[in-house]
Formats: sequence, C-alpha cells, structure tokens
Amino acid sequence: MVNTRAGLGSFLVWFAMFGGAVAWLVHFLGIYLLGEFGCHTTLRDVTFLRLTGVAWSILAVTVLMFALAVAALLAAHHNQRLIADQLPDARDNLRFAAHLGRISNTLFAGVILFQTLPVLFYLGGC
Amino acid sequence: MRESSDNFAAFERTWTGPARLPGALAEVNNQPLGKRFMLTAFIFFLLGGVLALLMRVQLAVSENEFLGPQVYNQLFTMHGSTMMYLFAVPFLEGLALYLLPMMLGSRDVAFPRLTAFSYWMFLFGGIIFYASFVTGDVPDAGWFSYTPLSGPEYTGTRQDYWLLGLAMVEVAGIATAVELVVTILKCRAPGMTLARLPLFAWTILVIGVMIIFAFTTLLVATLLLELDRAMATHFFNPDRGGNTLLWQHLFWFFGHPEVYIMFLPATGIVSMIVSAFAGRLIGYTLIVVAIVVTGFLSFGLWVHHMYTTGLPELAMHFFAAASLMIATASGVQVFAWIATLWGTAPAMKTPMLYVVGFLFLFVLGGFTGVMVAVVPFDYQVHDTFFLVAHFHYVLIGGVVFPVFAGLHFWLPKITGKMLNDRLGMLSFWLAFLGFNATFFPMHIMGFFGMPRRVYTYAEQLGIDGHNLLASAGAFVFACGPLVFVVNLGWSLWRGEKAAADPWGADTLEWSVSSPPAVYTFAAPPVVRGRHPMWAPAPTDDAETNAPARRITQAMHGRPVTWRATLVTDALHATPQAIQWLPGPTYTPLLAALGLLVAMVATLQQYYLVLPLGLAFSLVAVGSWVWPGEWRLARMRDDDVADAAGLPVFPSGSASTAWWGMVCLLAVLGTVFAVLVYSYYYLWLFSEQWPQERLPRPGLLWPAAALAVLAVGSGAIGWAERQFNRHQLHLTRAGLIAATVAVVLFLAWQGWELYSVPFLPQTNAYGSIYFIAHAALAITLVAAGVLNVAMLVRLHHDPQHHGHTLMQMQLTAMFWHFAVVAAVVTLLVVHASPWVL
Amino acid sequence: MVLVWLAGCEGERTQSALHPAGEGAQVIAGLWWFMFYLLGAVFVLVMAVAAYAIFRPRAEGGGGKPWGERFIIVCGIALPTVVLLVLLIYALTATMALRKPETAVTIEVIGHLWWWEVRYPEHGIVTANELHIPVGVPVRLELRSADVVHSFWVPELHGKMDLLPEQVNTSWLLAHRVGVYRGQCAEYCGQQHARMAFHVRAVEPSEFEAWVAARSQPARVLTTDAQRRGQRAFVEAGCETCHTIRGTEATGDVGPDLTHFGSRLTIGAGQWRNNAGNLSGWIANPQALKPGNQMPRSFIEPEELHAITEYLLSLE
Repeated sequence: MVNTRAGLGSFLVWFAMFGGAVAWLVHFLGIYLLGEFGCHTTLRDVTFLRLTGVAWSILAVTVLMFALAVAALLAAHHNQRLIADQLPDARDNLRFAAHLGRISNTLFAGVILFQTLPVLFYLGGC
Repeated sequence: MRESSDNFAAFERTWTGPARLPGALAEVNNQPLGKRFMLTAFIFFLLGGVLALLMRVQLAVSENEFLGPQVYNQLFTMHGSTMMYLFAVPFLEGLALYLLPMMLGSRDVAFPRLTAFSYWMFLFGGIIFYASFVTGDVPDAGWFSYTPLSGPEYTGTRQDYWLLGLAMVEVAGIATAVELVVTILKCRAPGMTLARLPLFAWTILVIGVMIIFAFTTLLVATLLLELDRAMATHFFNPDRGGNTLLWQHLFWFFGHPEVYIMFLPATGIVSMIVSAFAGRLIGYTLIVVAIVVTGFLSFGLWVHHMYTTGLPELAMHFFAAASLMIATASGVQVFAWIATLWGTAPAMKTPMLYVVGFLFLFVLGGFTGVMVAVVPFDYQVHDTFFLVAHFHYVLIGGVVFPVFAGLHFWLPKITGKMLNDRLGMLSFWLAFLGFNATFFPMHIMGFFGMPRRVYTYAEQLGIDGHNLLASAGAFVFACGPLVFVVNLGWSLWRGEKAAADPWGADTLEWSVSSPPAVYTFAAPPVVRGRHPMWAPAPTDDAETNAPARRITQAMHGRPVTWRATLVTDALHATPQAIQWLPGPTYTPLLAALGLLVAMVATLQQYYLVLPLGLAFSLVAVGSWVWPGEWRLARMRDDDVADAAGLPVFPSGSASTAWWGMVCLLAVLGTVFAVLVYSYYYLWLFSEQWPQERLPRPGLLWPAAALAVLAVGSGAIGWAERQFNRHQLHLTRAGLIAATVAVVLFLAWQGWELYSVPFLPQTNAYGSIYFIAHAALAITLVAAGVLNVAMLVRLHHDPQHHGHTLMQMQLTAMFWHFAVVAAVVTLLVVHASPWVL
Repeated sequence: MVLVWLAGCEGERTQSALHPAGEGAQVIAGLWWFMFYLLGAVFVLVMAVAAYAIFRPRAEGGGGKPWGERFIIVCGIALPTVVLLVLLIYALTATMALRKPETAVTIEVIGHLWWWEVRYPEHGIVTANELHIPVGVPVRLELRSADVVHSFWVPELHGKMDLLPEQVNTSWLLAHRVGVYRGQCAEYCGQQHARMAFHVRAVEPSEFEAWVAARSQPARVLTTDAQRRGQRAFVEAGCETCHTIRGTEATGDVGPDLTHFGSRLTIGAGQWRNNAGNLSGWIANPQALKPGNQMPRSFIEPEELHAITEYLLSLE
C-alpha cells in the first residue's frame, strides 16, 4: 500500500534487503552438499580440464549465487537512488531498508567468495 | 467523568489476573510469566553452578577420589545440559517475554496462552531432568549425547530422562520463539517501523527465527534417538545400517546456532545499555546487519565441531571459512559499541561495568574461537580444556556477563526498587577476577594434554598447579552471583524506589512506571523516532498523527470487558486491527500436564498411558483454540472497533494467527527437511539402498494416492473461493470432498505400511521409511481435523463473520502445506530409489 | 608471563601439543605460534582502542564522533577480513602439509571400552595400549571402534582423529625423535574415558625391525616351574576365555592380547607401571582400580596369583 504509493515495489524492497542472505544460504547448502555427498559419488572421479566434477559444480554454484548477491546489491543501490532523487519524503524505513541492503549484500557477496577459496586448494580431489 | 473512571477501573479488573493459588496457575499475562521464566531459569543456573563447583573440587588435584568416575560423568552431563537447555535460552526468552511488549508499545505478547504453555513445558522438562537425581539414575552421556554411547546398547533409563526432559524444553523453546517473532512483527506501536525497532528486539526477532529451525532439528533428532531406545529402530545403530555421525550432524545443526541464539540477545542487551550510558547510538544499521549476518552464518558452522570425524577435507574448509567470517559480524558490533562510547565518558555504574568486563572476555573468547575454526589447529585442541576455556569465555563472558548487566539495568523496572551499586560492583569484581582465574589456565591445560570430560588426570601431565588455581578461582567466581542474590534481596527489602527512567535510557519501557501496570499501556503509544524517550515528539506530523490520535483516544482504557492490543503492519507499523487477547485460563497448564503424563509414561515404559496423555493434551489444546460464542459476540458488540476505525476480526497477514500459522508451517517444514536429509545421509553410507536387498518401494499406488490428494487440494482452494462468494453450501461440499481425499490417502498409507515386507525394527531403511510415512500421516490427519473443524464452524456461524474467514484461510494454508509435504515425501521415499 | 607459562619451563612434558616431537604436531605448533602473535597483537590493539574510547575524559561538547560508520566498517569488517584471509590461506597450506604421506608401515588401532587394540596386519602382530613406530618413517594408522566413538590423540606427534564404529578413519604419525609419547582418548566414551591412555614408543628403524621380528613369534617358552604353574593357573582361573596368548590354549578375544605382555610399559590402558605389585593388585580386583571395566574381580589363592603374575611378566 505504502510501497506502491512511494513507487517502490514490495518485492524490490525485500529482495534488496535479503537477496544476498538468501544467495549465501543457497550457496552454502549447495557447496556443503557437493562437498559431503559429491565427494562420495562419481562426481569426484569425473575430471575435465584437470578439475573434478565436484570442483566444477562448486564453482558454478558460486558464480550463480555471487551474481544473485550482486544483483541484490544493485537493487539496494537502485532503491537508494530512487529515494534520494524521486521520493525525498519516503518513510525512513525504506531508506533504512536500502542502506541495510547495501551493507549486507556486499558482506554476503564477500562471504560467498571467501567461502569458495578452499576449492582452489582442492581442484583435483576432496 | 465519573463514568469514564468507572470504566477505567473495569479495564484494570479485566487485566488483573488472580494473585493467589490456584488461580495464579491460570495466569497468561507476559509480566508474571516472564518473571517466572527468569526466576526458574536463574534457580537452574545456581544448581548448574553448584554442579560445576563439585566438578572443580574433583579436579583440584590429580588422581583425586572425591567423586569417582560415575558421579563426575553425571555431574558434567547435568552441568552442561542445565546451563545450555535450562538456563541460557529460557532466561533470555523470559527476559524478552517480559520486556518486549513494554519496549514495542504493546499490552501483552501475541499469544499469551502460548506463553503459559511454554512456561509449564519448560518447568516440567526441567523437573524431569532433575528427577533423575531423586531416583539416582542420572544421565551421564554428556550434554551432546553422542550415539552409540547414548543408545540402548550402552545406556539404561537414565538417558531417557535426558531425552524426554529435553524434548519438553525444546517444545517450550520453539513455542516461545514463535510467540516472540509474531509479537515483534505485529505488536509494535504505530510508527515503530523496522528502522526504529530497538536493537534488543532485533536480536530477539533473529534468534526467534533461528530457534524455529535449530530447535526443531534437535527435537526431531531427540525423537529419533528415543525411538531407537524405546521402539528398537536403527537410525543411529551402525550394526543395522544406522549411522552415528548422523546424530552428530543433526545435533550440531542445532548446537552451533544455539551458541548464537544465546549470544545475540546478550549483544542486544549490551547495545541497549551502551546507548543508554553513552546517550547516543552510532551504527544502528550496521549492528542490524551484523545481527542478521550472524543469524544466517550461524547455520554454516556446525561441522566445525566435527573436524576430527574424518569428513572430506574440502567440506570441512567451507565450514572453516564461514566460521572465520562470522567474526566480522562480531567485529562490527564491537566497534559500533566503541564508536558509540567514544569520548562520552560513561558513568561506571554496575551495568556499564559488566559491559566493560563483557567486552574484554568476549573479545578474548572470540579470538580463541577464530583459532579453533582453523582446521589443523583444531586437530590438536578439539575436545581438550583449551576448548573448555574458549567456550566459557564466550558463554560466560559473552552471555552471562551481559545477562548480569541486563539484570542490574532492568531489575529497577521489574521490581520498582534500585539495586545497591556498591554491592553490584563487588559482585562484578568477584565474578570477573574469579572467572579469569578459573578459565584462563584451562587454555594451557589443554595444550599440555588434558582432554575434556575426564574425571581425573595423570600427575605426569604436570598440570596440577593450573588445576588447583582453576578450582580456587571457581569459588571466588561463585561469590559474584551470590552477592547479586544478596543485593536483590536487600533491594526488595529496603531498596530505594526506582524512577520510571533511572538511567536516562531511550526506549519505550522507560516511559511507564516502575514496576509497570499489568496492562503496561493504558493507550497505545505512538513512536516518531528511533529513540522515543530522547527525541521530543514533533507536534505536526500530519501523516501519522491524525489516524494515530484517533486510535490512541479510542483505545485509552478500552476495550473494557475483554483484553486487547493494537496490531500493526510488519514493515511499516501502520495500525491494522484490534487484536483480542485471552484472560486467565487453565488450558495451557492442562495441555502441558497431558504431555508430562505422556513423557513419564514413556520413561516408565507404560506405553498404554502414552496415547492417553497425548489425547488429553490435544483435547486441552482444542478447547484452547476454539473460541467461545460469548466471546465472539462480546467482540462483535463492542463499539471500540468503530471508534478506532479498525477491525476486531482481522484476516490474512493483518492477523497474528496468520503469522502464527506461517511459523507453525516453518516448524513442520523443518521436520520434513530433517527427515529428508536423514534419508539421504543414511543412503550415502549404505552399500545398497534399500538396505539388505529389500525391494524398492512401489510407484503406481503412491502416484494414484497423490492424485487423489491433489484433487482434495483443489477442492479446498475451490471451497475458499466459494466461501469468499458467500456460497456456504458449495464451501461445505468442497470441504467434504477434501476430507474424503485425506481419508483415502491415509487408507492407502495404512495399507502400504501393512503390506511392505519389513518393519521399522528391520534396519535403518525400514526405520526411516516408516518415520517418513508416519510424519506425513500425522500432518494429513491434522489437515483432516482442520477440515472437520471448519465444517463445524460453518454450522455454528453461518453468517460469515471475520473469525470464520480467518479459520478458512488457516485451514487452506495448512492444507496446501500438507499437500506439498506429501509430494516431497513420496518423491523422496518412493521415486528417488528408482532414479538415483 | 603467559609466554613463560606456555613454554612450560617446568621441565619435560609428557603429553604436550606445544612440545612437538613429530611432523604433524610441529606443523600445528607452528600454526599456533603464528596465530598467537598475529591475533594476540590484534587483541591488544582492540583492547587499547576500547579502553581509550571508554576511559578518556569527556570531550568538550559531549563526546567526539570517530568517523561514524566508516570507522566501524574499516575496523569491524575490512581489517578483520584481511587478517582472516591470511589465516584461511595459512590454514589451507598447513592442511596441505598435513596430507597423508606415502608409507610402508600400517597399524590398525581399534578402540574398545576403555583400551586400545593395536594390530600390525603386515606382520601379524597383535598387542594393546602400545604402538611401536620407527623414527623418521611415516606410519599410516587405520582407526575404527568396536563399540562407541573414541578419539586417538598423541599430542606430541599429531592432532587427533576419531574412531567410529561404522567406518575406518585414517591418520598418520611421523616421529622426529626417539622417545616414549603418551596419548589418550579424546572423545568422551563413558565411565572410564579418563583412564583410556596408551603410549607410542618411537625407536630407531633397525630396532623397530628387531622388535617386529621378536613380536611375530608366539609366546616364549617357559623356563621355571613357577611360570608353568602360573600358566596352568591362568587357564584354571578362566582368564583364557577373554585373553589370547599365542602358542597356548588361551584364545579369548574380549580383552587385550597378552602374548608379549611382559614387555609392556603399563597396565590398565596406560595407567599403572607394569610391575609385579601393580599387576597382582590389578588381577585380584580390577574393579577397585578402574571401576566399570570389563574384567571381573577374581577369587584366586595368593600363591596362584603370584604364579600368574610371574608367568605374565615372563612373556617378554
């Protein structure tokens, strides 16, 4: 109700706030399951360009989820600019949501990269 | 004027609960129950402390014979279990139950009867734990209860005390968490947007969500272990295809978030005290980010308790990375507090002193925490006294010190009397110095080869001196809480009367008298900034003022004959409805008593009594949930709704019941997720699946059964649409069709379980096959019962009132969830053995 | 002061992770000292900043504002991330350094409630509560449990690894120096978890070869009458139902193999020195010394007890 009047979609507000967190969660569960379950299956023995199937899958999940976190970060930037330029009278909680999104999405994007670092040491095994 | 003061007296009578027994047992209000929670948990804290002192006496010198192995093992088990399950979380939940409505500007929490229910469950669970001391059969498998040591082969009934007591405490924890989450989302003062939510409330919101996922996981794990013990299933029995590491995974998926569930509210307390003493707050948004990040990352740490179990190195390092990065979230909080305090020269009163002590201890414990997250280093210090030192720094320094800070800070509000500052400082210094003398040497003991959980150690380790110092320090440390108890007694007896806001703090709880009235606010307060007590209210805030003023006036001392509070929108805190709240009732006590009977029956292996207890409990819950006609009539006839311009029968996301249902479905969803994980984990370590050359499950019949259920789901959706179009006959037809679909599905399930050539006792595959079907069957029975209840409601209340609409929505929500659960369960159990 | 305490100036340590005598322990001790100095310095710094913020006298105009949010982001997120990145990379490199080396010697260790069964599958040796390893040669360990979860830990040689009932975990040892290193169960395993120790004897490779050759033989031939009487008493008292002495009729598999018992350092899983006094006390009533263990109290006449003791100690 308030959102539509302010010209800011409700989904965009929530995505800009928690998109990075969700990306981290999916990423973490994904790479854990690949690391634990994948290392007990044939995915471990398949190699392509000297990287195991496990490493390839983890890198793929990382790229996807990092992109999602960055998208959430851009959404937060977008919201903040929108509030600054077009909606100077917007409620303080919209401002807060955008600001929170900028910091937390940056952090989660960083954590996703940080967490993928170990894979570089295990490209050929588990 | 006369009439209005009469009205106000009636309003106060409506809110006043019975003071004497037995009426006090029916109490549901958050203030007395919050106090009971805290007092009970504090008594458990003192008991756990006594156990710790006895352990330190035993360990004072090497080869001591003070306690002997069995008693020592019982004491360390009960010490850990008491502090983790019976003190920390219940105490913090009690504090939140007491404070949150005051802080948020509400009259009570969202579901007062749930408060009472969870208090009784907590108390009864604690009593089951400690009843083991009376029978002399004390649990001794550790607070972590690793299988197979805790399984039927190695432990007798004593482990059942632990499992059943814990199950009750977990239910209490989950119920309170749901309560707190919905309270924070829905029961805020108009204008208290998410951007103005006090930081303590932010921490409780996040841990509430964490508890829903973490405690549910442990609840399922404890039930599976109890099934292994009581029904001879094999989830954790390696001889029959079970897996002991599965327990460790499930336990730590609870266990690590648990640490942050205790720690985050402690940081919330610190943030409140720091901003009160500094007179400002810097980095609000950053602290909120830190809280949210901690809440998420804490679910990515559990394997760092399992580095030495032989998991793939790669998987372990993901957890190492997450465990390291969570330090940044704590770093943000620490530096936000430093920035806030910078140059404000805060007065060193007792609460502030405890906060300073917390900063030192917690940062030290945090640094050793970073160290143990490093995989190779953990190979050495894992399960040694280094770990004991580390987590006591984090849990005592990081949780108990803030709790004492919070007690010195908020007790004047709760009791109406100031505590003595000198006694407070004495208690701090005793606790701080004693604590360091006790736990610092333990780092070194760990390096020098002392493992955890040993009742004695060899003299040749050369750590007698360290141990003696630790034991002496423990007694000094224990004097700290004792001085606090003396201080509390003294303040109640002749303490100085506390003003409404003795610290000059910023949040709404300081706007009411000390101690507050039981209804807390006569009229809903309106919030216009992050620090309502500091910022003078702007006189002309056109957007929020006019409707808010109307509501405030309409609800001042009203409604008179029934309890109610204002509910607002979750994000923007705009008023949405007037929410009915229950008065004193025995139903929560009876529901908890029924479960207690069921638990004791399991403990004593009177399995015939078990269903009686459960049935009694369900009947009590049924009568609790079912609204009386008189009550609905009273709400309909009251003119407060017209005066305030708000509905008294909210539906959809405006109502607290809708959010409660979302939380319940999250709990149930977690149950199914845990079962699915267990299914695949057992499979992963099995040579064949199904185990022992059992036939693969059928596909045709489950597909047909699912099709029937899908038709039922469609019928419910159709019924809801017809209901909204006031076509009550068609609504009934839809509900009946859906009920028939459920009955058919359950009949198929019964036939399926009857005809498979194995039993839950055959092997782990049989166990997980049956438990997955059983969980689904229970969910579907509940969906069927909701259908029948809806039919009865339509029969009673054909005129389509708001309340009936709400019930229709809730029934449909549960139904759609149940159908999804059925699809997932059958895909996993029936289809995946053919595909994977 | 902390450093002095940690360095353990109180002489030789028998079970210390900070006095490494093996490859694994040395890598980890190096990691520890690196973290100690790095994080120790950061800790002192943080405390200094906090103390300055809290205790400095009130600034004019009610408190300074140290760069607001940027201060928190730099000190709370950016700097820690750099430190943690360094730590993670160091940790991963250390883990690589701890990769299981190629080796010729394999020892199986099987955890029991509350003792250690030790097997050399390539040499057909079965013993208990003692591992003999050659210095300078990596030794592969195959660890599993016969009952509950245990954990194998010799702090001076390497970190710990759990023994599980459902799977075989592997670890390795590489001793740098000749010596006797004490180890202990590190995962809580019930009543006598505290009394489940063992020793690792690292000897020169040539000595190890000799030890293997000697231990591959069945129990030595008895020389005195007392020993022969002891052997008879051992059987008559029922000891043989639980213990094996290769080359005799004792073939039980509940308790430790006693074929070369006389050469063991300790009894009761690393608890008491192996001599006639301790041994006869143990045989007479093991429940008094280590309550709850599987060995029942015996009711043997004193002379027979004496003979059994002499017999067992002769089995070198």
